[in-house]
Parts: sequence; C-alpha cells; structure tokens
Amino acid sequence: MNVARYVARRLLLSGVVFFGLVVLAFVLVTVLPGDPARAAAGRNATAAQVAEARERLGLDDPVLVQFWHYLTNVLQGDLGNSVFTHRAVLADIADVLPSSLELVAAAMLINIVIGVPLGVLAAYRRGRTLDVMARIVALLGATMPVFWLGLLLQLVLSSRLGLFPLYGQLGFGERVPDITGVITIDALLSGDPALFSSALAHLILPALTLAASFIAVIARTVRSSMITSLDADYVTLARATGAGELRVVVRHALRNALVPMSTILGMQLGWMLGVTVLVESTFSRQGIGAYMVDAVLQNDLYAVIGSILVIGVVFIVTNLVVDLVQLWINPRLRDGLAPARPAAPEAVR
Amino acid sequence: MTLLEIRDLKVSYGEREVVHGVNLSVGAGCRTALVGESGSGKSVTARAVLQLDVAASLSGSVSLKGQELVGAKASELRSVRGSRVGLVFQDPLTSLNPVMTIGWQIMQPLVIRGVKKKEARERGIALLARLGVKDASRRFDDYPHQFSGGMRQRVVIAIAVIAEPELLIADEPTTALDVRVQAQVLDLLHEVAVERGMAVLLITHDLGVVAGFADDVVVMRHGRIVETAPVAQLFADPQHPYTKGLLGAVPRLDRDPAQRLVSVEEIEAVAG
Repeated sequence: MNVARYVARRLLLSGVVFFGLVVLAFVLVTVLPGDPARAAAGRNATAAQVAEARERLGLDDPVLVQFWHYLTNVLQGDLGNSVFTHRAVLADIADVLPSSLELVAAAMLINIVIGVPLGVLAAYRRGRTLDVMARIVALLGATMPVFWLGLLLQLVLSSRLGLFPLYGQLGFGERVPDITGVITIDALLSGDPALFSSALAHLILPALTLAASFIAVIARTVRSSMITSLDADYVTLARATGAGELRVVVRHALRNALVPMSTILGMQLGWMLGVTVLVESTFSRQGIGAYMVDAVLQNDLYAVIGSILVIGVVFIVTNLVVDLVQLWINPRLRDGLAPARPAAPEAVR
Repeated sequence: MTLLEIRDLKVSYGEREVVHGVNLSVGAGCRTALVGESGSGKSVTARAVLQLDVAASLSGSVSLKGQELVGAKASELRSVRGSRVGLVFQDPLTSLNPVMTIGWQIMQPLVIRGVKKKEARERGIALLARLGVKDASRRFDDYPHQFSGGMRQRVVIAIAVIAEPELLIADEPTTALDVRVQAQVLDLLHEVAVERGMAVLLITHDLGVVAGFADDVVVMRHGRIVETAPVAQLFADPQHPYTKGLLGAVPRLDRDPAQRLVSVEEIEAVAG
C-alpha cells in the first residue's frame, strides 16, 4: 500500500529528526559553560556537596553512558529540573505552552486571512498597482524587526489611540478559571463576555506583531504558485467551458496552489513558536518564549534546553501533520508519483 | 448554413499585429481544417473566437450564427464558452487539472449550468464510455495522472463536448500523442462530430491528418489566408505556390524514394 508506506516513512523520518534534536540538546548541555552539578547543588554549596551532586547526576560516567541516561530520561518526559523554579522543566513548560500556542494560533489565523488573499490578488492582478502595493506592504512587514514593530504598535495603537491594551493577557484584577490554560478559551468557558473580549483584545496586538513577518512570505509563496496555476492550460480550458472567474481562481488555481502553500504554512508554524521569544517579552505575556528568555537570563540550562526540545517537537509534529494533509490534497502523492515534498518556491526565507 | 463567420479579423499583441485581416467561415456541421506552419497565426485566429487570451486585442468581426463576439460583454462570452463553442488543446497532460478527479472536470460544464450532480454524473459516464474509455463508471473518480495520454485526450474531448456545443475548436488535438493513438482520437472526433451534428475547426500543421478528416481546408501563412478549398480539390489541384510546397513536404509512399522532400527554404523561395 502506497499510503501506508508513505506514512510509515514520514513517521520514521520524524523519529530520526527527534533523535537528532536530542543529540543536539545533549551536546548543548555538555559543552555550554556552567556546571550542572554546581547548579543542581545550589549556589552556596560546598565542594563536597557539588561532588556529591556530580555523583548523583552521573556526570562522572563516560559520555555515551551519560547520553543514554539523557535519552531515556527525555523519552520518559524528564527534561531535568529548573534551578530557578525548582520544578520539573516539563511541568513548567506545560504551564506556559498553552498561552504560546494560543498566540501562535491567532497569528497563524491572521497570517492566512491576510496573506493568502493578498497573494491570490497579487497573482491575479500581476504587474498592476495592486500587485505592487501588496509587494510593498509585504516587504515592510517582512523587514521590520519584530520587537520594534511590537513597540511601534504599542505606542501608536495602545498608548496614543487607546484602541488595545498595552500589555499582558488580561486587564488588571481580571482572572479566568484555569481549565485549558488557554486564556481566551478559559474566558469563553467562564461565560463572562466582558472577560472574553478583554482576553481577545489583549491577544490581537501580539498576534499581529508575530504574524507581520510571516504574511510577506506566505503572500509571496501563494503569488508565485498562483501565477503558475493561472497560466496553466487547465485554467484556460476551465474558462473555455464557461466557468466564472471566481470558480476558475478558487476551485482550479488556488486548489492547486494549496500544495506548496501547506508546506510553507507548516514550517511557519514552527518558526512562529520560536519568534514568540521576542513577542512575549515585548507584550509581557506568559509563554514558552518568555520562559526561555527568563531561563537564559538566569543561566537555567535545563530550562533553556527543555524549551528548545519542546519547540523542536512541536515543529516535528506540525511537519508530520502537513505531510499527512498533503496526502489528502495532492492525489499524485497517493500513488507515489510526485516528489514527497514539492520544492519550496523562491519566496521562502 | 454558416455557423461561424470571421471577417477581416486582425489580432495584435501590443504594437505587433500577428493576424492581418483573416476571412473564414465554418458551416453548421462542417469540418474545416486550418493549416499552416508554426507561427502562421492559425492558433491565434482560432482562439480569437473564444477570446481567452486577455493580452490579444482584436478588430474585425467574429460572428456565431449572427451573434457578434468581438467586443461582446464578458457575460455574453461566458454563455458562448462551453455551451456553444468547445475547445480541445494540444497537450492532454497540461489540459487537465491534476488535483481534481476527471469526473469532476467532465461534470463541471453541466454543473455550472445548473444541471443536477446526479444527472451530470450519469451523462458524464455515458459520454466517457461512448468515447471509448473502458470501465467508465469506475474510472470516473480517478485522477488525470492515472490515465494514459490517449485516454486523457478522450477526457478532454468529453469536457469540451458534454454541454453539446455547435462548434468544437480542436487546436492540434493529436500532436502530443503517439502515432497509433493519433488516428484513434481523430476517428473518434470525427464520429462524435457527425453523431452530434457538431462543426469542427481543426487546427493542424499536419496535412496527413487533414485528408481523411475535413470537408474544407484553409491554408494560412504569415497571418494571412493563402488558399481556401474543399479538401479533395486542394490535394488534387493546389492553386497557391505555398500550398504546393506544403504538399510537396509531406512524405509519401508512392513517391520516388531517391527524390528529396521539399524543404521550407524551397517553399519560401517559390511562394515569395
């Protein structure tokens, strides 16, 4: 069965990538400055206490043995303990991750809702004013540093115009029940419309900031693959059967452009999670990005590496999902005729 | 009765005029071949009927049973496309949408005209079977890449004729196919046209294709028509030197094998 083989191959590849990620994380633990034994024993520990911690952590073992321990620990969900919160890193991340996923989901929504139609229109009106305008807007979004754009939006839209809250995830004194960890959803579940709209208002600016640089990329990707589709014979023939323009553009051209588009969107989801590092700090939001920044500033080695691992796993999972989605939208793939992943068009950074 | 009447048609791309005042008519139910070398303007002329190329600007007159198409509104053109004039392209590989089932594509001309899905499907399967696709009802939900070139071209023909147009424009419909399949597809096109009383405007550079297929032949060169004649007359007694040259360039079994075919340069020299 072609489909089963394809899925098995993708799963296996995901496993290989995950293994590589763990190797990388382990190398970072070993080579980065900072002594884990000292960190574990505490700042004021005596030399004897540090030696005891070293013994306990197995740091005197050969590197391969250490790696084996590290790997089995990671597979059991033990990413080590944070020296700052004195909790398991995974538990810390589980607390903050939903907030980041909320931010990424909102940014992705903005990315798709603005970027895809922008790319379609630019392709349809290529070379015309609208195409040029779209290119300029996209370029501005792509070249502006994220933190700077965040500050600018805060200054203009929040501070001057008062349209959005300046920072945070809820207004002063507002609280939501801790159900899913995703504040907008928890606010919705609490049944208080005012609370929900407050949570939503707090989400918009950071999501917009996060999405800005990605919109340009997806718009360019959609534009270039739409140009290819719109010039194809099957589009001309669809017109020749009397199909209307909307049908031609959406059902024929865009439907074909979905394949490269989904590849890029999948990658973008992973990148976005990385960029939350900048956005969450700027907007004082909770999340894995903010957690990582704190961990770096406090020399909290296991927390930093744990965050990297988790972001990496999210990346692997989204790519796996994209591979499966492609199976659905690209019939040629099901018969093993098309390349497993179409080469990404030029607009990819 | 004249179905398609083209009068003094000029087609330009920007400043460059590529078709310089063509007159051509296709009678209802007749098969007319438009012949010429690459770049003679035959495809541009034929495609001007449906006006699918937005970069081309037209002047003159193209009328379909008295309805003027040059300068017609987009909505008028859309009602002509598919239901009155069908189109088949050269390459069946690129003519079909790779991510849609062939059934969806065959049904589309009917569905956009408000025919119920179930009826469209039945008609589509019946037509596909008529066009010689075995196991049509099972293969209806297959994708284009699962078909061979000849079968794909049958699918393209099905899409072009399902809404029962009065005229089919076939732009080099067999050029991309291998020789054995070429003859099958041409015969099929001929049969379907006769059955449905559908006129065909066949564009080709292959005079061998023309002989058994067309009633009339129109020879084009450098964007102008050089000769129009019934097919038997054209082959027996070509008038224009260019036509004679073209016929001389066709390889034949009954000719002295030691004699070379006429080259394009020689045709150019004679035709001036």
